[in-house]
Amino acid sequence: MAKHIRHVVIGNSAAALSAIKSIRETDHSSSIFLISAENCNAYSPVLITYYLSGKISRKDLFIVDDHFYNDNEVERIFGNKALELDPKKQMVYLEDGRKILYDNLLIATGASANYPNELRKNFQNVFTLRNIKDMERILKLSNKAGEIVIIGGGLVSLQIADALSKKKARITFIISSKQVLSRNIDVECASIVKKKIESRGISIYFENEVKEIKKIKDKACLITNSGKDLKADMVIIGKGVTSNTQLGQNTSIKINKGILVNDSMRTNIENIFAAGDVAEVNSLLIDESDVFLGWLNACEQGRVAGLNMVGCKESYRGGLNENISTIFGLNIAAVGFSRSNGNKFEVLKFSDHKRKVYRKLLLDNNKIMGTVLLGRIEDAGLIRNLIRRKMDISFYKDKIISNLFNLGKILIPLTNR
Amino acid sequence: MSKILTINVEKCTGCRTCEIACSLKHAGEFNPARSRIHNISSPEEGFYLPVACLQCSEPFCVQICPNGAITRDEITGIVKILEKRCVGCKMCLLACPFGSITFDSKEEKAIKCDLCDGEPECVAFCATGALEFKEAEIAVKFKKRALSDRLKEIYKGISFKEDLELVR
Repeated sequence: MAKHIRHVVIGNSAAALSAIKSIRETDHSSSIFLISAENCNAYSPVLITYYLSGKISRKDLFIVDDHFYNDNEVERIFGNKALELDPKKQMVYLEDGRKILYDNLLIATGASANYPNELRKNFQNVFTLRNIKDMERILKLSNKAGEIVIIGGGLVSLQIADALSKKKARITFIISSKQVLSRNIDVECASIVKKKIESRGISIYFENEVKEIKKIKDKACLITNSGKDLKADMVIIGKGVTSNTQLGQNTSIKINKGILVNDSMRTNIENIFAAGDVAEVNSLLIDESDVFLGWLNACEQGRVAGLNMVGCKESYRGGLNENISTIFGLNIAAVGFSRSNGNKFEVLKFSDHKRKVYRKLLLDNNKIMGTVLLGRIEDAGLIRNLIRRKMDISFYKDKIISNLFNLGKILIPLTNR
Repeated sequence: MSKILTINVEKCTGCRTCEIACSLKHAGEFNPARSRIHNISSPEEGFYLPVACLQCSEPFCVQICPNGAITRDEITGIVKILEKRCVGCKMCLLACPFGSITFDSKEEKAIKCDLCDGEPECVAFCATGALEFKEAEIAVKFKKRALSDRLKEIYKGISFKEDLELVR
């Protein structure tokens, strides 16, 4: 008789859920144990800032309900952190002392918000935003706060500012680079976004680093390297995230920035897999490995991991930086490279600052390596597909450029006039 | 058997009545920007192609929607965005390999063709019969084949074969 297989999944978000779905596509006899540090059903981190802005209610954050776990025959072990892992014994040790045996393990523990040590003071009004708890604390305080300082100018920071700008607080950004969204978009596109943010009465200090946060009475006092001091009732830190690789540490699992996996999402240990924000995968575009954050990457990686866990051979094409969002009414999409980064890319560009439309394609040897779209983002999926399939567009190059722009014309800029 | 939207490129004149009819039905105004069907025209080549969601049988958008707001009806095959659940995060815009999902900035929601739940308005108003709503029979499969060949010709060098397999 075949041995009864135990799949253990650690984490309860995009990668974990899609792994469970793909395991159950073919395998109904094995057991699935789902371990999560948070004591609730899966919610969508994508939606957190929508809750902050009041667009959705708390219950709408949850993407699956009890039925999902029951229908997929998943045993939930929630509110319980996996502390240690012993690959030899095939055992996971939980916070409450329990030991869970596995045949296949998927580490999908995600990433945590960076909290620089120098800013780590025991103030109740300094936050990072990554999970429901953070968000609820921010929500509670934001109604009272008069001055809010946001450190970092990434996507989540801007989304928070957008959500909080509807309240009465004054918002100030302190950003270490020369532009907003430096990880996602190029300088020119960022200048359009910057103008839009400033038009909402939000100030931005570029090339500024916060050295220290002091507590003066009830306020936080931020001291920057340029000598500018700022007072705030609330400070939100958006300085990127780091993969939660702790479980793999002190084991033989290979870890770099994230847990290293091959294109089957398998680590160097045969029956241990990793997917999502915790996994370091090969890049789709260049010969490098990296952690590729985001919901779509996590969904795809989780699916590949799940299929391989039940013995189906499925390969991951490789990670791609990809983001899509609306910030202060501006639709932004970026896939792959947003700037040349020392590579000799051919650049095809269309920009109309007045209408707030910006479109850029980066080509290498007639293959699209990246795109930045602002305003008209309808083609984002199509371009992403062309990038992923590494299609040679040389036969069609002139057309694809004009066609993309024509397509934009046909669709009429939907927004931002 | 489920019905599908078929497009006869030879018959399309690029009048864009389909866009007008669609936007009136769904958005309550004559505004092609809010239509779920889009006519990609190339007048210099005399080529017009109305495109709408292909209603994939294993839709990536359904798999990835962070809010479970996109569903596929097993019987009709219709892939639909549940307006009430959509928060406008646009992940599906990025996920759709065909660019078939657009964003309605007025409602702040993703929109796509849902075949008007089985009675497509665009078909009713298509004057030349380029758009039809038919049983997905073998004959239709031949038509799709013809369309994919035509597309291949147009998109020389770019092979959508793998994608078209998805919907065939």
